Amino acid sequence: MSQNNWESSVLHYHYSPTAFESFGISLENYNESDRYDTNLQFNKLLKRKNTRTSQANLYLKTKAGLAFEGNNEYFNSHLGLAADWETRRYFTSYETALHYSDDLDNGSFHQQARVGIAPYIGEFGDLHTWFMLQVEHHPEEELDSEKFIITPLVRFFKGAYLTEFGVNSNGNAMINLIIRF
Amino acid sequence: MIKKTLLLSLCAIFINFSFAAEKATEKKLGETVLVNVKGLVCDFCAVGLKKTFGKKTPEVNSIDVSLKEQKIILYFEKDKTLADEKITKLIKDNGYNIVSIVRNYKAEKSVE
Repeated sequence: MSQNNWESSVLHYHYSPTAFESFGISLENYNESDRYDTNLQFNKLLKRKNTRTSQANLYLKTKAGLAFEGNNEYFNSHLGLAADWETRRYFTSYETALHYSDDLDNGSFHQQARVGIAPYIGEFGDLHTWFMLQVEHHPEEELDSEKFIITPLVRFFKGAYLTEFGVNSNGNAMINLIIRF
Repeated sequence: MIKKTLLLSLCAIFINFSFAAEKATEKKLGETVLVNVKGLVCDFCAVGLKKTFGKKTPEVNSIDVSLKEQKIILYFEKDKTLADEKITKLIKDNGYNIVSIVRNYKAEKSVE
């Protein structure tokens, strides 16, 4: 998984022995500093509700590792909850996270929500398209323009490949890519 | 006249081979099982099912997945099968719920 936005670029590789947990490693490079993080990541599906037309999920997301800035290294951690609900036509998600890095981030709160709609419904194996709106809230950012960020985006996926493109309210591009092996 | 005969002969040979190949391929397939599920709304997530029933279960020749009908069709190798409990576990491990399992399901399939 590769995520690239206004704040950082992340490369994340993970393995899911079942649908209920995943173990991985992530490398994150921050755009406006020389900081980069190396983390081990563990995600746990806490609850899933399946119906004939929808799926709802609640995840626990954790990361722990090291943050490097200049010649220094710091303990780094993230703890978050994520929830989503989707049908073949509509998508909603909400995610919240606490970040902590020794001397770099003494505990910051972040949250993000998405809503999306599929303009057409494809079958298994078709090219699927979603139009989405993402809203981020970073109350501890110094700049007002970075406290609330809105990103309209388009998502395409087919088979094992998913990609997203967007431009946020500050004019910064977002490009994400996920490949399932 | 010779050309017509030759052409007809070639057609006959081709049809014979096609039929023989189809019969041979049909012989390779065993039982077909329909699994009705809940939660199959995401194509990307359902890719895991192809992987589970492709590489991890040699008993299965191939699978068809329908998001619209919320169903998975398993085509088994000849004389091979999986117990309902095993099928249930594999699908649950992929994050879906089983509604029902129908054995000896009659499905139209294009043989791969």
